[in-house]
Amino acid sequence: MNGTTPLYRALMDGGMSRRTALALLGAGATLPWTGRGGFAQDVGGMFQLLTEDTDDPEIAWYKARVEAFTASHPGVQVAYDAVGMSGLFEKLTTALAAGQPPDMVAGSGLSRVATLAKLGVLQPVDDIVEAIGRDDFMPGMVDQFTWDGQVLAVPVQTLSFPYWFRRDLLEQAGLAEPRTWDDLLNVAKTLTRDGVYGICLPGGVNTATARQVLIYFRQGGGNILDADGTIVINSAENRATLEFMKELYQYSPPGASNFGFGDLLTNFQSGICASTYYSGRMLQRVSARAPAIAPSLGCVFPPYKSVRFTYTEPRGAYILAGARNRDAAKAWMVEEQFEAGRHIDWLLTAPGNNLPVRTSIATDARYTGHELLSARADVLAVLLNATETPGNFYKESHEHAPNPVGGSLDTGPVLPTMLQRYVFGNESAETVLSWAAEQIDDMLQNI
Amino acid sequence: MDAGGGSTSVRGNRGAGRLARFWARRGNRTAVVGALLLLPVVAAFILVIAGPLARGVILGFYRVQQITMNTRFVGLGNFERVLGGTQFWNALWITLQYTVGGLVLQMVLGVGVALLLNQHFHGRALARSLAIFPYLLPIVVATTVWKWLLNPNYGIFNTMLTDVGLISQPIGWFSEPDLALGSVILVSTWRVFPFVVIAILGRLQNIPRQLYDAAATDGASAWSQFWDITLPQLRSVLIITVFLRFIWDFNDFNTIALLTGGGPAEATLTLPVLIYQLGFGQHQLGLAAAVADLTLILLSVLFVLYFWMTKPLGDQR
Repeated sequence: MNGTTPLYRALMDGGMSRRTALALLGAGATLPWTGRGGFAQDVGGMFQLLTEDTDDPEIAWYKARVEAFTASHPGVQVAYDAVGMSGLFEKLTTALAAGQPPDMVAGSGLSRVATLAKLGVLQPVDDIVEAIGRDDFMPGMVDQFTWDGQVLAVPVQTLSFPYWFRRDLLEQAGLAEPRTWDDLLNVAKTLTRDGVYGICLPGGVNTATARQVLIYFRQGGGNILDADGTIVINSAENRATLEFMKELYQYSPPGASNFGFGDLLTNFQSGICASTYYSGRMLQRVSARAPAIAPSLGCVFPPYKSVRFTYTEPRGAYILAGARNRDAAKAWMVEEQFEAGRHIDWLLTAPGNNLPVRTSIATDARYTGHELLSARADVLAVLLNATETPGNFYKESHEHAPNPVGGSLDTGPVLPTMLQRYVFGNESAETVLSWAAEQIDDMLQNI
Repeated sequence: MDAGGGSTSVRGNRGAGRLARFWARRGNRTAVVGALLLLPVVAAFILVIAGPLARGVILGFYRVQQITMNTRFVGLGNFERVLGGTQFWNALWITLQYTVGGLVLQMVLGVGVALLLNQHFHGRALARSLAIFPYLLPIVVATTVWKWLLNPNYGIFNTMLTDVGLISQPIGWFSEPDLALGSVILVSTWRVFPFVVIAILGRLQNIPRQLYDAAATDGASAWSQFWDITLPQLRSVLIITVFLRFIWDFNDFNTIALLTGGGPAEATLTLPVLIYQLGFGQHQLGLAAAVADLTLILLSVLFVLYFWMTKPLGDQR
């Protein structure tokens, strides 16, 4: 039944062009729609699939799906490559330069998708969205991946970055959950004792640090670009924010200037830090690897100064403009990646981190009934609630014009280097912000 | 028509005759065959080395959108930007510190260990094998191991230093701007000094024993023997080793990228890491190519110097 619903609904709702509907019907006539083999059962040849997902459960999911896909399409050879978040652009760059782009990428953050969309290297996937069920996506979700009236990526999931803390340590110190920057500083300072550090912050040249900079800049009332796209990073608000961050880094473990996402997780779950920022993946990691800490794991919307903001970014799956096996890519998406049961399995490879973007999935008992998510409904509520305040490198707020170099800011060295030079290199805020402004200006001119 | 054809035929016969005479000469035949034999190598060189090199150099004069490879000619604009800013000069200074600092340590350690391994002692073969071990270790493994050993929160070095009371707070070897470059140099030295050992040891084993016997008969001290016999004998191999290691260390990307990524606060940002960050982080391939071009010029100067210094040695032989 699951397999027939999307096509039936798409056809009945009239949300699909006659040509697309006939094409789907033609395919369905050969093999009844079963969720596998019905979309393009005659696909064959080499199918290159790139992913940014490199955690073990995620890789296991992909491998299982690749196996199933090749079983239902014996003529297809799948070249599956997990390149990681930071390796994606490198891979795409060399592949596109060589004129041999992969057929599709199974999911990238909106900022990176936007950069690729701006460069015109993606092709429309409206037909796939219709086949899955456009109305099933949460309000505004598909629109975020739409450029010039064409959907260029299928929303896969979203994520948010809350503030995680050890409730037991907080209670021992007689402190309440932090809501403001003043609270946060007090918590970080007070909990830094007995070999434990109050907060773990990223500081390496990586995406974790870049996002942390954006979070604090926005929370402090500043921006990188204003709503019209003008560079406003060198502002009084951001200078004050850098000062606050420098103070906060005193309560982060030594070595923070090399920390990335992995260090935040490791330091928190090993008990070295009392608090940190991370996506919902923290819930799964602490439950699995630090059962002693798990019961006292707390989670709130990140404390802020003047703007309620945290990083939240949907991910989309997309097909490259030069794809040589578009049929296989479409079949993969409809039959494997977005089929309800398999999609839920995917979301649960990292429960709490991979948040649903389709109403039917968010309310599906197979998702909501997951042991960990149902046991920590309080955490799930914070994570989902945080996604309602969207902000990322692509759009710093609802009102912002798209930032065409958002993807480069997300994975590039500019913001982390700027932070390092101020916090660890003791250069002035004016100097480093001015340098960052020049770099961003140059990137914008190059797009 | 006929007359014309006849004339062509006569010219053709003359041409064929000249070709036959040319081919009849043994020297010419050898030259042609030699050129034909060289052709595949020349073609491969153009395809694999000269072509990409030229393309890389040319990119420095363009603004390049890296993903689409759309280009716009900007003349010397990229070079003006690179040379007019501070980042290139800082990176050059750090590269020189990294290269020279590492080179001095590698040479001192390499020559010292080679001299030791040249002595007769029990277990020498095992010691020689162990000395080469760091060089055989994949760089990713080596850097990961060192990152863990020197980790300020879990690393055994900090734990030991804290336990014996030498330090009260763990040290961020790779995360303190004042220490990061030194730490990276030490790890790099540990990893590559066996190359120097191998090169020097090979030459040491070929120095005639009679030279030392004669010196000892004349009452020369161990220091005199080292200074007056060993060092001059090592001169050629030392020069080659120094130049090769200088070029390799100057271009070393992996060690720094894996240990610090050029941080903290650009304290270990060498030219190769800067090129990578500009090209793949900021997607400014033209700027990255301009820095690479400047690096190429610097290394070419060294290359010329190398030939200039090694040529007289060849003549002396």
